[in-house]
Parts: sequence; structure tokens; C-alpha cells
Amino acid sequence: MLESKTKIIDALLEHPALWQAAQCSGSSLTTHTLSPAIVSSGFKGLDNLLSQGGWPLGQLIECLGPQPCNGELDLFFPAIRKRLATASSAPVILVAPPHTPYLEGWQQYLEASTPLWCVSTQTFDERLWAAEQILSSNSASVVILWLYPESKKRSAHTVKVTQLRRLQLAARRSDSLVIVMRNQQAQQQPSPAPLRIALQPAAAARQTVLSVKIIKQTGKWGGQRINIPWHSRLQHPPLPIEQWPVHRTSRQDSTAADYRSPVQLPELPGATTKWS
Amino acid sequence: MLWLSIYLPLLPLQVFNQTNSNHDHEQALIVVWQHKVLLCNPMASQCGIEPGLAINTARGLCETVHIEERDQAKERAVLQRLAESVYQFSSQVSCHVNCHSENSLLLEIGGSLRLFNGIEQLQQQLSQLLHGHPLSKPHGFQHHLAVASTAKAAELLARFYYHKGNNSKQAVIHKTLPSSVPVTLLDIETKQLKQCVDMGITELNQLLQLPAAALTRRLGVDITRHLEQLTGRQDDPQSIILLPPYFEREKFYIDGLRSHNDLLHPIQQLLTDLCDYLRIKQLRSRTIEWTFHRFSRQKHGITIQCSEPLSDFEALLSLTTLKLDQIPIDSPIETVSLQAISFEMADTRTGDLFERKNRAASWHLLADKLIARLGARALTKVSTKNHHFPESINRVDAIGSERQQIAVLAQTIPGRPAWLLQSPEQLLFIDNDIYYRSHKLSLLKGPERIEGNWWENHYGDSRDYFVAASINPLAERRAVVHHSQENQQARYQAFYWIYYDRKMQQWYLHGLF
Repeated sequence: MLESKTKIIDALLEHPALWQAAQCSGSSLTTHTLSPAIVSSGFKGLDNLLSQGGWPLGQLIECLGPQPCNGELDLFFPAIRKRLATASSAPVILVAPPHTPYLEGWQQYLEASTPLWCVSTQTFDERLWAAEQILSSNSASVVILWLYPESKKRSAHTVKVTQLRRLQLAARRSDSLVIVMRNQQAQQQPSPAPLRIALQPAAAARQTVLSVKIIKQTGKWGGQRINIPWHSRLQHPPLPIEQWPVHRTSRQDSTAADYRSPVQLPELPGATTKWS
Repeated sequence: MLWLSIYLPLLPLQVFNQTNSNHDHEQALIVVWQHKVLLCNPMASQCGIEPGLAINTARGLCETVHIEERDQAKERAVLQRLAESVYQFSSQVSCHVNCHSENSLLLEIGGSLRLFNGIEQLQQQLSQLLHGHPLSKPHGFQHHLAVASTAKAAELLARFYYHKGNNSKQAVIHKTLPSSVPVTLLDIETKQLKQCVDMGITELNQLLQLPAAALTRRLGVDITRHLEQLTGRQDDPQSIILLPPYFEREKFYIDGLRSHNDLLHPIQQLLTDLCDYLRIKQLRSRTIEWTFHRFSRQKHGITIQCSEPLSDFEALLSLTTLKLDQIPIDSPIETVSLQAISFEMADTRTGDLFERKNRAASWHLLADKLIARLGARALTKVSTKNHHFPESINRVDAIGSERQQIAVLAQTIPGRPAWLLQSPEQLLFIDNDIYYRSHKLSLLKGPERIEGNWWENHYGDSRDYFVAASINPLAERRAVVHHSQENQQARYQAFYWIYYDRKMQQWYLHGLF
């Protein structure tokens, strides 16, 4: 009798939808403690804030921002790089990216041989379907899904909680780094994603930073904020015209000054910016 | 040599079961041959009909009986199909129709015993296959097995034990022929059989004791040759079946199929056949083609293109069902056909038992699934080629077509954006200020000049690239009012990679960070 009861309890404990308080890091009270798969975010301060010490794998990570393509990739590039190092040649799959990825920008962080796939979709449902297929096949090392509404209207299609829960369940069957990019308005809605962060580029102490706020995480309080240095090399004043870097495809031995076009460069608005 | 014979006594009846699956199962059915009842189904037997009756008598016994003329062409076709499916047990399979028009399959199993771990295992698997065979649902093919050292002896024994009423599922294994086999069962012409019986010979044993020379003189050379082949004193070459070089099969539905759900059944059957074919020939297929003919004489085709050759039923089925929605069903579908022509050799190497499941296999399946549902252009692979112009650096290939090597960029310049617009978007330039969708941009870094392509567009292009940021107007106003560091943080909204086209004298947005 007792055996059958413990069996039921064991089955319950193994159920993926049940989260136990004892599973969080730092507590080793129970034998059911799992060592969660994580990948370091690449930023020490951020790792310290995250309850598991890095981005969790096989879990939805919801990243909320004011608009797509707003520095969110720079936050995840170090983690993607680390993830690729362990997951051999499994591809990085982008579902419904807002624009074409520009590989010259990516290659500052990733190997040139990184297999990068883009899935373009027509409808919102197709995005979710594709993401679920990718997650349940567990063949990608990193999956990034964009769920920004297509238009700014109130009636624009937004993702439902049940759809996100389906994705979360599919994600649990995989060991990919799963990132869902959403509009910051979604912060007001509940979400089954175990980790939610809000991201905003900002300027602080004369530096451009990415301001990260942890909205919610398992095993720890949310609400922490951290600034991550971003584009520090942008802080250079514009160069005089003679020193402009020139990349050209022709073998002509010309400088910027003896360009054959009759067009003269206008006075640059950038020159009026004051740099300190 | 060890021969196994599969005798199929009810095949003439069962070929009609297969095609008339739409008919009511309760209906009595008889198969007539030479104006007599050859076989009848259980419903017909309940009415008192038995083999050997005249057609009119049968009709008298049961008014509603369904009568079919024996169709030997159909039997041969089914026998050939069965031979193909039992080909997995032996490389030498032949279809045998004897002088009494009875159907058997002959398999040389001497070479297969070790693989199948003995005759019991082999026979068990064979019975399982025949009982659950999709060609005859729901009961499968009734069959009798016998094993002997010659093909003719095995064939004879299977029939002998069937007629003796031995219904045991086990194969009868005999090294020597039992003495009591009646002469009438021998696979020789009826005329010669009658002569034997007239001579007073009723059992095979008696025939074998007679001197061969005398027998030849009286009954002809055929009978002595048959006896010698039966006992193994003379070679008995069999015509071994060969599989066709490509796969093409169709299913015909006289009433038509009216929904996608109805289509699933023939699709599953045809795919099972295809997978059997591929397994037997140790091949895999990259492309399979479905054709659906409709009553309205239109036809629709679906081509399933796989990035990796497949021979997996589940994978092919899921790819097919994803594309099934493309088939309009406003007019019922009459014929479903499946064709596979080009093949590749299957990888027959055995993998490591403890090796993790190969990820590569699952990508290919994933890619095929995505392409099947979203279209061939939905899934792309982005790689690079060496070029100065940003729009020329990216190489976007469809997943199936990537063959070229990935070029490693000669130099990567830091500070490049992660995203590139499909086509540059023109920016507003008013009073020395640049605006993007009513956001004022301020230049943060630059310039960087990219020029070249002098052979195009009249001396080519010349662009000066800058990194710019838009400023949140609200935050800026607040910062001015409060002079506080906290509000200062939200000053920048977004970063842009913009360029000034020196020829067009215009500002453009080209990339995003």
C-alpha cells in the first residue's frame, strides 16, 4: 500500500509542470534537487542576480523591449557563443526575425561557421507552430522567437497565455537556449515563462548601457536592475575627412578627397555635436 | 537448401475481400470457377453453400449471394505483392501456381535461419506478417507452412497437411515425404494423374517404388522429372522474383474519397508499401510524389522533397499530412497514387548503442517539416561572402540548396549592427537634423566610408556610415527639468546604422543594433 503511494508521489514529482521550491539552487535539503542546465550570460553581475547563476536552458526566457532590434542580441551574444561551444554544430534558429541578420555584426561574437537558420512566417500562428516544432525536435542549440505584434493597433494579434504555456512545455523537452522577444506592454500580462526580463538601452555616466530589469524568476525575488555596458566604443568623436576609414572594392588608388564625383559632401550635422 | 512453402488456399476469395472492403462484411460471397463454386466465405457456408456446387444451386440456397468470377490476374498480382513483402525473410522467393491453379510462395530459408535465430522464430514472424497483412484486412491471409529440402516437396507438404485438416499454426518440417500422400495432390497434369489412378496407384509411395524407366515409358517424361525433383535427385531451378527498379503504386476508390481524413488511410497503406520496398532494396528516397485524381478529371500532385533521403514511415507520413491541406476536396478523389523514382543507397552501418541520437537526423526532419508547412522559401540559411558592401555580404540560401563553402570574412570591423534592412530606408534631413519616423537622430560614431563598384551605377557608390541614436523626447524633457541622473538613463531609445549616400546626397537607414 505504502509502495503504491510513494509511486504516485514519485510520478507527481517527475511531472514537468510541477515546480518545487526545493529545486532552486542553494537548497540541498531534498534528494530531488536537480542540477538545472544553465549557460552563463557572460556578464558576472547579471549571473549573480539570476537565481541559477546564468540563463536557464530548456526554459522560456522572455525578453521585453520597447521595439525589436534594440540591443537585445548584444545581451545574449555571449551566452549564444558559450552555448554553441557545447552544442557542437546544432543550428541557431531565428523564428520570424524582424529583419535580416547581418552576419558581419554577428561574426564579432560568433564563429563564421555558425549555422544560422531563419524561419519566416506569414501569420502569428505559424510562428508559434514553427517554434513548437523546433523545440520539440530539440535540434537547435539556440531558438529565438519574435512575438512583437504586427501592428500597433489594440486589436493586433497578441500571444495568449495558453499558447505560451504550450511553448514552455515544448521548451522543457529540449536543451536549447530559448528566448522569446516581446513588446514591453506584455509586462502587464501574466506569462508562464520562468524568467522574464525587460531591456532598454540607456545612457548612464556618459556611457551607453543596456538597462536590464528582472521582472520575474523562479527561486528568487524579481525586480533587480543592472546596467550592462554597451557600445562603449561608440563614444568617439567623428574624424576629420582625411582620416575617414575607406573600404573599397576597386583597386583604384584614390583617397576620399579625390573622389571623382562632382558631388561635394555637405557640412555634417554630426560635426555640430559636442563631444566630451 | 531448405525450402519453405506458404500455401494460400483462400487467395481466390481473399483478393475480393481486399477490393470490396466497402461492401458489407455480412454479405455472402462466393467465387466461381469453371461453372462451379470454388470457395465461399463464412456467411455463404452458413446458408449451406459449399465448394463444388453449381452456381444455380448456390443461388437457390441464398438469394442475396454475391457471385464473383475467379480473377487469376488479380491473384497473381496479390501473390507478387506478398512475395515482395516476404522478400525480407529470404533473398530467393518465387511465386508458384501449380497445375491445379493453387497459389503458393516458395522461400529458400537455408541461408536465413541464422539471421532469424532458427526456424521457429522465422515462422512466427512470417505468420505475424501474413496475419496482419494490410492487403487482406481484418483477418490477414490464411496460410499453411511446410518446410522440406526441395521446393516441390515443401509445396506438396503444405497442401497435403491443409487437405488433411491439420490446422496447427506450426510449420510442418519433413526431411522425408510421408508415405500416405495421395497421388491426386501431385503437381502434374490431371490427365496423367487419372492414368496413375487407373493403374491402381493411389499413394505417392507406390509411385516412387516403380522403376523410373518403366514410368517414363507409360506416363511420359514429365512425371519422372517431377518425381526426381520432388526427391531432390534432379535440380529444380525456381524463377526468383525481382523487384522493379522504381516504386509506383496506386489505390482506386470507386465511391471516391471525400475528406482529408479519408485520404489518410490510402496514404498510410501506400507509404507502408513504399517503406517495405525501400527496406528490402536497402534504399532511401529524397523525393516522393503523390498524385490525386479526382472525379472531375483534374489531378493534383504533391511533391515531398526531403533534405536528407528518408526511409522512415513516420517521417514521410508527417511530411505528407502537413501538405495534405493543399488538396482541394470539392470533388471526390478517385485514385491516390504514389511514385518514387530516384533513390540513394541506405546507410547500413550500425551505430554505437550508447551514442546519443544523431542530431543531424533530427534537423533534416525539422527542416523538411517547416518547409512542408510554411513553403520552400520560408526556411533560409544565412552565411557570408567576401564583399565590402553590407547588402552583398549576406548570402541567403534555401536550406536544401546550400552547397557552397562558407566564406570567412577577410576582416570584421567592430561596431557593425546585428540587423540589416532589406532595402535602405530614406531618412528625412531637415535643418541639419536627421529624422527617422519623427525621431530625431544624433550621430554617435563615424564616419566610415565604403565605396567601390565603380563598374556599376556611374562610378559606383560611395557611402559614409555612422552610428546614430534616437533620443526619447519625453525623457530628455524630464532630464532638462529635473537634472537627475535617473531620468538621464532612459535618454536613448534605439541605435541605428545610417549612411550618407554621397552621390544621391541623401541619408539612409541601413542597419539596426
